[in-house]
Amino acid sequence: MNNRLRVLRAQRNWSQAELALQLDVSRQAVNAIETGKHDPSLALAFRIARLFSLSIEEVFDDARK
Amino acid sequence: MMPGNEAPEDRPYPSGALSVLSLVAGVVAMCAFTWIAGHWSGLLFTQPVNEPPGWHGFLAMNLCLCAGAIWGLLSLKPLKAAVNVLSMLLVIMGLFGFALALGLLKVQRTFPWPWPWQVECMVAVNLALGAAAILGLLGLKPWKTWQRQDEPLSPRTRRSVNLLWLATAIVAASALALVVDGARSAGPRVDSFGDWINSPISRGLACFVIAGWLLGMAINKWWWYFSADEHERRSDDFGNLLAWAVFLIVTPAWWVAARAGLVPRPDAMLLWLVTSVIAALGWFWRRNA
Repeated sequence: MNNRLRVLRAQRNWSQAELALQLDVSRQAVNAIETGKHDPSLALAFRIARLFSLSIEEVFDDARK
Repeated sequence: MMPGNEAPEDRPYPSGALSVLSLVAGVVAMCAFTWIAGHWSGLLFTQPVNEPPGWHGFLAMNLCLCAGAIWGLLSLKPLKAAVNVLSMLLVIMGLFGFALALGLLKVQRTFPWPWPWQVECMVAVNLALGAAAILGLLGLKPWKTWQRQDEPLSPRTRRSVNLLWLATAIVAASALALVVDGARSAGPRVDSFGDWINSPISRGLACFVIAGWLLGMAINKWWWYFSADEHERRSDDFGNLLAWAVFLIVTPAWWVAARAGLVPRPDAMLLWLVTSVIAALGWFWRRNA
């Protein structure tokens, strides 16, 4: 699944660790999501979207379009 | 920190070849340490100290292997992998050193004074090895590679890291107690490292270790699993699945081969060790990939 997490994080000038702290996950988890090696659960996807005040579709893309 | 600058730090291995080299050197050094420890334990618990023919040459060769491996790892010090492999070696060396010294002292107490001068030398050498290992670890500071010093940790992540440390402490304490007590009960009859590892232990210690594993490790594992975030849990599941697959495939093959007289009978603890290592490697690889 594609996502815009790295771009959104860069826009706010956050490090991976800072984003991880706000999401209550490890830095490795943020890195894995950004690089597409880990697809987050629905609950975590909602947390990410809410953190950036966006909808899930604006952060994640199922790459089928 | 600019996010764009993080890519190299997220990939701590700048060169695959150097990382592989450091790991190979680490494995060679570990084998050499094990051989040396085996020879030492065999000699230490033989009364009087009998040196088998060619022992000095064999020991010198292993010491050279150790020195070469450590030198190679030190030259690769900038690599996180090298620092961690070398630290692991130092932990093993320290455990062996202190455990052998303590075991030797416990056994020798049953023999009249004065002890053979070789025994006193071996105790001193093993204590020096343990002390050198601690000094080496303090100098290398491997914990600095495990986590960025200024990296904030969420409460969940901090809890799971602390629980991992607690599990490591339980394993180390159990291993040290078993080695020391095994050496005491085995006494001077033991002349090989394998016999020493499987030697009988006292019931009191066994109860303590069993309680530590059944209660301490079970609670720790359960608590860790539900403290870790979903990526960590999925990495753990991957490692466990890998280990289970290896167990399913290897165990019957070993059992059949043993029945045919091709190999010794399956060893439960060896299978446990192999599957545990595979599970840990699988978890670590998936977590940091």
